[in-house]
Amino acid sequence: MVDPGSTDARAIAASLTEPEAFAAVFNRHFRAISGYLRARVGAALAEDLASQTFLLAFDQRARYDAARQDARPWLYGIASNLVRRHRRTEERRLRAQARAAAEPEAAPPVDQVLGAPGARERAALAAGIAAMRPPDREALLLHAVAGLGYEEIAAALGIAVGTVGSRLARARRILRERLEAEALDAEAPEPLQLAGG
Amino acid sequence: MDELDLVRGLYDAADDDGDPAVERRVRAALADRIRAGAPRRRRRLGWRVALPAAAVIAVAAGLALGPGAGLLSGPDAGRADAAVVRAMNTIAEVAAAQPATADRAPGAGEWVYTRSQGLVQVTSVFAPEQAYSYTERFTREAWIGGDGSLRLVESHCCGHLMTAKDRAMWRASGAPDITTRKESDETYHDQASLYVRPWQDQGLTDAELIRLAGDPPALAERIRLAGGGAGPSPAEEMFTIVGDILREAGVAPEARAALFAATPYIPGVTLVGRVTDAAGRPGLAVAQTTLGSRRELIFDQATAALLAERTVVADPAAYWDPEVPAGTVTEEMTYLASGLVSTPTGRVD
Repeated sequence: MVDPGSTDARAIAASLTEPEAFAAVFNRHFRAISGYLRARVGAALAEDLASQTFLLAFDQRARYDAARQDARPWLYGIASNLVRRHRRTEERRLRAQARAAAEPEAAPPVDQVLGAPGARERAALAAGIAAMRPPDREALLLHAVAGLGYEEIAAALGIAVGTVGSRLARARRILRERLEAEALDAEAPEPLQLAGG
Repeated sequence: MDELDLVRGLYDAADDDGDPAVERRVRAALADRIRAGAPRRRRRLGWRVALPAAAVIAVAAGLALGPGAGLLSGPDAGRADAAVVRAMNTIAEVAAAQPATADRAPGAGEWVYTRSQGLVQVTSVFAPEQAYSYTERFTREAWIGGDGSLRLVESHCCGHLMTAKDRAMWRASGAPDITTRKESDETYHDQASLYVRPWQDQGLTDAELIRLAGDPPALAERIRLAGGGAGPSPAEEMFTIVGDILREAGVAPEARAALFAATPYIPGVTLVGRVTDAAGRPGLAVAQTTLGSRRELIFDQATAALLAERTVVADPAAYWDPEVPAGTVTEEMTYLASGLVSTPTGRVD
């Protein structure tokens, strides 16, 4: 009989002798990891990467740091490593998002009449995220999308907490610049494009 | 609202529970891995093709490696057992003497047809208080198309609980039906490349195998590099790669010969000797044993064909479930017929 334990660390430790205990880790974290991967690379690739994340985690569970009760940083770290191999896919996806959001016809007509600031901001954000250095993007998305704190990101990526801070600061600065540039563009007079016009 | 909030908003579209079918597929893949109790080769097709037959496909996709970790690296790396070298060289010579057209990947309007049968473990592991394992027999027909399509026709049935403990757990979980035959016939349009040349994207093309044919240790090293650190150990990954390449895809005889000659240089590969496969055919087996479980590749010495793969419990004390007796075949895939056909319904005998 397997007691998966009340923490990830206990479940992982138990899985070394009773592999099925690892199911508790899957049950706790699959949806979050899967959602994060879908957000980054799209549903089609995310399925593969989510599978790989948990299979690799299972394979490597003997190396898990038992002092860490929460396996989230570890799992996000594995997922991030896998996403890194698909950097171009992610960047293409972001650029496509930027283009789609920037297309006047992509927004509902009422947004176009009102200037569609949401769509323009989304375009600027997507373009900014696509353009930033992959390590900065990694830190940004683990923080903003996965909800990890600095220390958790450091554990996930195997970097110093200070490095997390500098990467996040750089990423946020890039985004602010993009958004400010977009805001200036939006203020410039230009013909209003209405649907069908 | 700052830029972080905006980033969250940008990604909100994907913030849902996702497709439950995806979770089921991933869960099934992990269950299969957990059932083996140790890391094994990941193959994407295994959990994508057909959930009802996930375990069957796991065998087909190369998950038959026995449990193991951390062995077969270090001082033994690169050394070859002389008996394995002699045996595999003999088979390599048979392959090398075959006409170049004897076996190949499918071209336009062609499919490689393979019929096989076997045995696979199925386990319920996600309700630990009700976990039980049983083996199932299956038959399988695969058509791998030059157009990238893949048709799989499978039938499996007749679950057989492996141990008394499994039987008790099965009863405790309400004795669900494990004996009804399950049939499937599915076609996929973008997966065949994983079968046609599973390791082509890592450079293990026919041409690369042939290029290194004269230097088997170098080819073994090339296979190790292609593994890229995946798998429980480089050696196990190498053995898996050999099986992956030889499985249901057409491989040119010269390339197969190179692969056979390189196999002895995979650390830990030993000669099992003459065996009989599940179809009663004599063959020569080589194997790799890890943590109490022996994975065998069985070759026809007359045709150099891969007759079968199977995993056998060699040492219950080292196996993840010591109640499974030595000699128990836990996974098996026997290749009964294979050849090029011109339609995804054509068969060869």
